[in-house]
Order: sequence, then structure tokens, then C-alpha cells
Amino acid sequence: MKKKWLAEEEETCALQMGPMMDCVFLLILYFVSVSTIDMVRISKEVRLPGTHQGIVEKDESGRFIVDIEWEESLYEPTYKVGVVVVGDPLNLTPMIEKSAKMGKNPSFRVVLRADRRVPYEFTQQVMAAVAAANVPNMLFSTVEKEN
Amino acid sequence: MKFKEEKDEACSLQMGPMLDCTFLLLLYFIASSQIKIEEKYLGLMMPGNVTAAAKSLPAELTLAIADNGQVFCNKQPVGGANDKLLPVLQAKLKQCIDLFGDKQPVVIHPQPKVRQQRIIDVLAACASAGVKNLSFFANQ
Repeated sequence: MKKKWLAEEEETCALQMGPMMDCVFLLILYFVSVSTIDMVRISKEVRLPGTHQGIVEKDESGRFIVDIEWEESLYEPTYKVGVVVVGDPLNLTPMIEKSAKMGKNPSFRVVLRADRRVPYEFTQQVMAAVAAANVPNMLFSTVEKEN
Repeated sequence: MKFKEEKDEACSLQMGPMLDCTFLLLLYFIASSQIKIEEKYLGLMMPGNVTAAAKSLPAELTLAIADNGQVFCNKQPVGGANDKLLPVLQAKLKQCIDLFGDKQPVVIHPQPKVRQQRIIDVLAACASAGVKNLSFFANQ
């Protein structure tokens, strides 16, 4: 009787490693997949303007994202497409045209992620490049709460 | 007998180092990741090759934004520099939309030094009033 009781105690003390490892690997997979996608596509330096209006897009296909970072001390913007820095906004036109042709998405659109401090004289140049590429659909990125 | 015991030891899986590595990886990804802030979008139709329709449209409303952030609708002040929600502008736009429908053309004319935040404030007021025919004035 005593021997049996001892055996039961040993069983309850054993740590189940299988489910724990499953959870840990699932968490790792989640963080790997989420972090890589965001790092490539958008700039973290852009402080988006805040507004209560705006729509949330579920379908993220067919989008060409242009980031405009702003350096207040130099009064100078940096235009970016992904990780590529574009010196002259006019150079965006062939890039947008090429992307629109390759994607063949009827709802192709340009998303302008401009910093809230960027003056209109610089955003206007990107808008002119989009219009020159014959893409009629354009979106301004905003956030609900200003960060 | 001694040989048999050694064989058993070699077959056992060492979970300790494996767990160490796994938790280190997990910690790295948790520390390096940032919480994604949900973005919203305000749409705009750009002029392209499409020719303008011959149909007569009501006279356009011009929303001028001064360098200090003041907003004017056809030269009449409708919002102060610190007025973020622009209720007067919203009311005026709603009135026009009710009269002429959502084809009422609205042109936003910001001065070159106007910041993006102020343009978004005006765009949000337009979206709130239901403006569909919106364009930007191109400074030369």
C-alpha cells in the first residue's frame, strides 16, 4: 500500500514538456511572421497625423506605399518606397507605373504615409507624381490616436 | 552491466539547453517587436487621362488653408488656427451637399507651408460632411 502511494506521488510531480514546447514554438512563429512583414514595408520614423475620420482597409493587396519622413531641423523630407530612398519625387512616377503594370490589380492605389509635420509643398510633389502615373486612386494614412 | 547503463544515458534527450535557446529566441522577438498601431485612410481621386464630363456642375467650393492654419471657404473664414474639428466648415459643406448632392466639387487650396496635419483636419471635415468630389489645387 505504501509503495503504491509513493508511485502516484512521482507521477503527479512529472513536468509535461510537450504542450509547453508547443506553446513556445507557436509564440516564436507568431513573432517571426509579424515582425518581418512590417519591417520591410513601412517606415517607423513617420509620425502619422491623427483624426477621428478615416476607413480601415482589410484588403491590403494592390497598394503602393510612399513614406515621407520629416527632419524638422533641416526642413527636409525623405521620400521612401519600402527601404529604398527616392531622391526626387518625380522618380516615383516610373516606379508607380511599373508596379501598377506588374500587379494588374484593378483597385491599385497609392498610399501616402506623410509625417504630420510635412509641409504641403512636399506632399504636393508626390501627388503630382501619382497623377502623372495615371493612378486615380490615392489614400492618406492617418491614425486614430496621435502617437 | 556497466556497458548497458552507458547506452541508456546516451539515448535520453537533453531538454534543458533546448528550452534555454527557445526562451532566448522568444525573449528576442518579444523585445524587438512593437505593437502595431492601426492605420486609417482618407481617400482622394487624382486627375488622370480621364476627360472632364461635359455635364454642368455646381460652382466649386474653394477651401483655402493659410500658413497659420486658418481655413477659408470661398474667402470666408470657417475655422481658426487651433480649431481641429472645424464645425463651421462641416456645417457649411453639409448645407451645400444637401442642396447640390455629393457631386458638389470641392477644391482644397493649401499654402505651401501648411503642415500635413492641418490638411488631414480639413479632409476629415470634408469626409464627415459626405463630400465625394474632392481635389487639390496645385501650386506652381
